Amino acid sequence: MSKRFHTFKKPIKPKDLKSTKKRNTQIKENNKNSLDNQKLSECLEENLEALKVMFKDCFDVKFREFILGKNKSRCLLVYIKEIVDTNNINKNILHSLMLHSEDDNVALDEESIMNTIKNKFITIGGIREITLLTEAVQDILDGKCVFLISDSKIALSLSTQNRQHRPIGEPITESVVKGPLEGFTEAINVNISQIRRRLKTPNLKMEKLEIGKLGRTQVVISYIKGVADTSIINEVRERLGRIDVDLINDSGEIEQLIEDNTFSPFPQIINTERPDIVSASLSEGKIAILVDGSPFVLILPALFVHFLSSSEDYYTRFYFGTFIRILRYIAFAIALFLPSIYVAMTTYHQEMIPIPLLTTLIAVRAAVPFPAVIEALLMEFTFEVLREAGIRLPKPIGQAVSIVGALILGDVAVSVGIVSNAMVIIVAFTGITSFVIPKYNQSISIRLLRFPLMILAGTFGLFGIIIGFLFLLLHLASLRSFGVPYLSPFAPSSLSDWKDTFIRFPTWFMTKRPGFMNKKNLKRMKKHLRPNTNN
Amino acid sequence: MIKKAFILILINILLILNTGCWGKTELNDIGLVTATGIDSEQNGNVRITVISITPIGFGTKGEPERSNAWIGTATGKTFADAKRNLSEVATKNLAWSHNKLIIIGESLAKKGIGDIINYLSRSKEFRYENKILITPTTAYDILTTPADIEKNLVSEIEGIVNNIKEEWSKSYIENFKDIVVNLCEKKSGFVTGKIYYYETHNTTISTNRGEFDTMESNRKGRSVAIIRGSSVFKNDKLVGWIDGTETGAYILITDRVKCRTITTNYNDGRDSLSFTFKGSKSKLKAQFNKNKISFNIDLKVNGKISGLYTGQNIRKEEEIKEMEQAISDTIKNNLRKTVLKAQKELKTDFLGFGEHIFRRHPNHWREIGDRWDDIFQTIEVNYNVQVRIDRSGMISNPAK
Repeated sequence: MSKRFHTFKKPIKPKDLKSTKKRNTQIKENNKNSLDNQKLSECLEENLEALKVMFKDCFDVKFREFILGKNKSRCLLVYIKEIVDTNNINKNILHSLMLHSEDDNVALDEESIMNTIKNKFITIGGIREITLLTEAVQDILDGKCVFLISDSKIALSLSTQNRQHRPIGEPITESVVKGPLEGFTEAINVNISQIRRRLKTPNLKMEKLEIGKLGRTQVVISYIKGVADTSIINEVRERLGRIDVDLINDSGEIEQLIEDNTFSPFPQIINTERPDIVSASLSEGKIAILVDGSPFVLILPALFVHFLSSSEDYYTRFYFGTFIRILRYIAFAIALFLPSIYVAMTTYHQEMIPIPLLTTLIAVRAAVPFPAVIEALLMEFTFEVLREAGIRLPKPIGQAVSIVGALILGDVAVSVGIVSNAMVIIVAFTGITSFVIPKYNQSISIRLLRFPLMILAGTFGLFGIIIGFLFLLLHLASLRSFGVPYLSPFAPSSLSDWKDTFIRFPTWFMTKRPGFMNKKNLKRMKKHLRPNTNN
Repeated sequence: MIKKAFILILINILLILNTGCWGKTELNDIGLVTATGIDSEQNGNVRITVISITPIGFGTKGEPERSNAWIGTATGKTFADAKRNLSEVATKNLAWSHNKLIIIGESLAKKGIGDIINYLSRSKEFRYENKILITPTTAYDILTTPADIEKNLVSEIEGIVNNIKEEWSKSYIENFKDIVVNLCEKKSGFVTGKIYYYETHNTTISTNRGEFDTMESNRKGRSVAIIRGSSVFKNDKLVGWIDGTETGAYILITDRVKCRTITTNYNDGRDSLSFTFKGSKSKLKAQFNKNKISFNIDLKVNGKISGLYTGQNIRKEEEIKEMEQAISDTIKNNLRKTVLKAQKELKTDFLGFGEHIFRRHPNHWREIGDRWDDIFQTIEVNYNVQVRIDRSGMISNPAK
């Protein structure tokens, strides 16, 4: 049985290609000082002049000139003060160069001066020889320090970046009770360090890209060689390479530019703040995309089941993990369908409601002036407004809003008779169940889909809900994330992968990596790891 | 392309909005009919009486107040006509989907309920688990009886019906579906519950002194609905009534016992004994001898002693045997009496003998099926009742 159906999209249409080209030339024209492929000159003055023109009106770029050695070579150090480690420059470049170069036993003749400096004086790990002016400019902008010396076509780029970042904190969107409490930050190097620390293998590959004409955001494709499917890696490379924008601020922008179906309400890429999820996914053969400046790492391919599982499922014992999983699937269904089912049952199918409940419902609805659909839409709308208001407002005011919203608005709306008690219960419960979904981007898609379903329920009753459900199901079945069917391992079904879906099997039982992403190298643990067996 | 898709989506949205919610009924507009009474008027019209529950408003705290029962009645040429005519008086949209009881008056039942059942089974509103009860007076009288302690009459009758089903075998209430099946097969009669009311002075006594005192003043002439005994139908016509003991025999023969208590005397009438059924199994067996048809009823009953008024030592096996014998005699007597009543008085085979032949001996049925009503009155029935007492309750010997 073939588990994968790779139907990748055509990378780019000729029409689009033309427009990209046009845009590129435009940018080039705008940038009068474009110096592509211009080599560094031997004359220091020329280089200095070129850089000064380039960095005109940039007060933060520092040009430090000094004289070196007995033959009084003129040197230039260029850097942006705000993004370099000044201490590092002082101690490891200026100090060592200026003090020790005077020593007699060091020959600083003209031929080997660059090598001697590189090999003997500069006590910095990251060092690179550059010959192009653009390279120098880019490195300066990256926070490196560029060292130029007269009569040399080669400049040295020194890694002196010092990036301010917030300390590693708890992941805010994916908190767990039991499990690692560290989350990603905005700094990509910190994020990489967290992944590296968990996967100490040379097969963990990190491919660096720069995306964005203006932002030149660092994007890293990470995967484990031999485990991840090469065709998917290639596809990721291709899709990322296609991106040509000004600026990438967050991984969410990358996500929208590389996902398979852009009009689907369902997310096809996981966003996570948790390094443990990333390392576990990598070890299963998935691919991670890290974006500098975003604490959210993208993981793909992502399937429907992944959006309903949390890392905690694996850290607790499997009974509880399974229980929570099933709970989440039920909550998912409730969050999607409960208001519509309520509307359908009360307006079309009263015979389905047991009589004691029905009499109560009739009593509480007696004073409500609107039809049930309008009531439901009104309440859901209010709930979404309250939720949004609570997120956007500053924290202390946010609490006030939730109190005003939940207590006062809800209570008064009921006692005045605009909405019924039952509807308040339905909406509140629906709201709470949507918080159970562990991945934020899936829970927003549910919030969105609730509204069309409510309208269908109000116009066609249960028939409408079924139509809506079938439509969703068809859509889900046709959806793919990087060529992997979104509903796998259910459709196409692969029974051995069901071990990690509704039911989370014991850890010692899941000896194989999920088969829907990779066919080879499936084994991930020894068999018979169950404790206290004689096998 | 995008324009086309946009127009398509727009059309779909407009279509949905234009449906106008066909068939929609808001909860506020519903009157829940929970009991329907059907009578036949003297001029041949049909009178329908319904109890409709309308919960009225909600209190300050939001909890529903006592629901209000509305009784509506209308007449018409047929049942369907009468039901439509109810709209003359009903302020709500009457919904029958939660109807629980159908009460039929004696005059209509004697004329035949075929048309009514036909209508009810054709309509999607009536559930198959509706209970059908027959009253010796009119359904209108029963449904206008005030409720005694429950919120309304329907929940009261429903409570009685549920009780009967679980632990009392002196009335048998058939549901709508089984009556439809019986009528379709057209082989034998059937039995369903009998409801009537009687004037009472002391059926319920409140434990609250204040309530008790207020009740005292208006206690005279209160009528209370009760279910006791059953009605017997031949085809779709009411032919007579049977009392509690006979209904008990009917339930035993047709193997529908859930729980039952039987009281008997033994030891030459000196001691008395109550026996509660835990399980029973009855088996009919037909024998054909030339023109004579005879039936064997094999009945196996086991149960426990629930009351014993004797000084005998029941730990002795002979004593148990004697008790079992006494119980089996009593049961045998009841059965014989009931079968005789069916044969001689009602002349209706509601006990299922004909059905047995129809199912087990189809060849014979082809010969005698047409004449079964006459043949039934001549058949001979042998009774073989085995009683086993396997438990004696919490104690063995009487406490005294």
